[in-house]
Amino acid sequence: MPVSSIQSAPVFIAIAVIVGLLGLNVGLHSQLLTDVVEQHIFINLSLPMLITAVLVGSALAMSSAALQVVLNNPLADPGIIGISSGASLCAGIVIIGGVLPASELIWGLPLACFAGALLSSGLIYLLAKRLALTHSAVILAGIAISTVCAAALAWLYIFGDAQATRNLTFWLMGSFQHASYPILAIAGGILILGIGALCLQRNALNSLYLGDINAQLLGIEPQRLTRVVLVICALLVGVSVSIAGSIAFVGLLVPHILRRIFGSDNRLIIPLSGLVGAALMLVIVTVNQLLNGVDLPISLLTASIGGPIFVWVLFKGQAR
Amino acid sequence: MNIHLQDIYIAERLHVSKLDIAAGTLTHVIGKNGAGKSTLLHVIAGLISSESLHAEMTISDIPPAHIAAHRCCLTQHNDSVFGLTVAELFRFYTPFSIAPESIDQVLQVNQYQTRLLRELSGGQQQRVHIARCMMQIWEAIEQGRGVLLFDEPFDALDLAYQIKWLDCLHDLQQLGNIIVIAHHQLAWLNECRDDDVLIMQDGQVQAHGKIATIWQSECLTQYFHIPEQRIPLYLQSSS
Repeated sequence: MPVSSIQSAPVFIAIAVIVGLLGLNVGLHSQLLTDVVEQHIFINLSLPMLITAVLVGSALAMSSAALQVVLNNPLADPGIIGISSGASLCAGIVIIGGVLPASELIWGLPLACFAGALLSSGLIYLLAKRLALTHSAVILAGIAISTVCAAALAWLYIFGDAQATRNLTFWLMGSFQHASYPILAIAGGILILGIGALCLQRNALNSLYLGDINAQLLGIEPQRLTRVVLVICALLVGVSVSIAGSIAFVGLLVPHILRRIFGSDNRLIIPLSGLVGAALMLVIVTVNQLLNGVDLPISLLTASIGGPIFVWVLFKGQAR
Repeated sequence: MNIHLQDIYIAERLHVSKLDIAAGTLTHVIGKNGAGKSTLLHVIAGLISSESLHAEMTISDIPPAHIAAHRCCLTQHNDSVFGLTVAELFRFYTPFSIAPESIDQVLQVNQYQTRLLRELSGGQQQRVHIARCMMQIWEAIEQGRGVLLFDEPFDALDLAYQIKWLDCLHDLQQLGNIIVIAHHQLAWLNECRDDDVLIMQDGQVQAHGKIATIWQSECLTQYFHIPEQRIPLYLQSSS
């Protein structure tokens, strides 16, 4: 394969934007060099938040880009195949059910969410396997499991007290506020490994565009590839939801727009999705920082910023 | 190099006790709908796992690890829900991003490079897919060590392209490549009397050999159940 045919300019631009945004966030702490309190705030609050934003943004965008190819559906995102639904339900049980004392929440919530994400992914996989593991089976199983989880969550809302439901709503729309080093040490490690593993599959993913049979003719095992990518994505999304809540729309938006602009080559689209997803999350953290004090849920911002861009791209672009 | 099939049995689809296809042959696989033509091609293409075959399909001289560089197969459905350009399709499925001169001369596909596949007409898409399949193993084809399998390739191709492409395949056959085409354009059998024909019915091979010795209009009655008085003029043999 001619490597030179891949455009590298967009990758460098995305990296430059990320560095710029990180610099801007450092710049927001104007007394960083002199003030000890400011340093403490930056190192213990802002920095873990920025790292979380970068990792979660790239994990979500990249896994969506891969899922779309593997499930042969340009509209697939982690929400659609239900991976995040189990995490949301577990968050509901922990927050509204009051299973854990408030002091344990910082550890308990991510762990419960991760367990929930793995559980729902496992259920989806088993269900899809009974339906012979076709693309539509995975999506159907995902919709079925998320419907069940959403129903259970709705019942919890009815029985929850006002403050708890408000907390849950806030969490369900995503937030980087819970970022901390101990959690990042574990979650960050898994995310980095998953992102790396997904990048390794980027070449093989190109052979899936014309369906399993044509991939098989190239000597690729499409079922195995699909299984590997599904497991990596479940892990990436599960961990992301655990540490940042459920973040809507990034997964659908980023790869979709990138494919329209740069074409379908996964050797570019997979890594670039990760970079652009990270940049987008940094924009959102920056907006939140600039709004000083009003902490807006991430999904509110992703949908408010991303939605209109998406509509504009759909209007403008040629039918890709 | 030759293809050897032994005791292939797939319930209700295909039953071949022995079949050999030699190097340097062009074989027309014909038969009614559901006769097992596509299944036979899929077995030769290695798309049906050997456990469900209960038997063997071998292509001599070519180690299994290199088979994808020697064997291509045009299947019937090749759609993508993603908007791929022709150049992307070539890049993802072949070692080339544009078709080699000798393929482009026949199929004229390089003019569509920047076009989206799904915006091309059915016949244009078919030409692109035929070119893609040949490009996948082009190096082997040029050495006369390719196995080219096509499932209903003439569909949507206009007559001019059918003629040009068949001429090209006959040239490649001379190099030693094995070419197998499953199709319904029976008129070609009267044109290519030196090619081989393989007639299938109910998943079994009914006849296999030179067209000149096997094929006559009575076959249409025997294998396609067409009443003698209904055989169209263009399929009646001149003799």
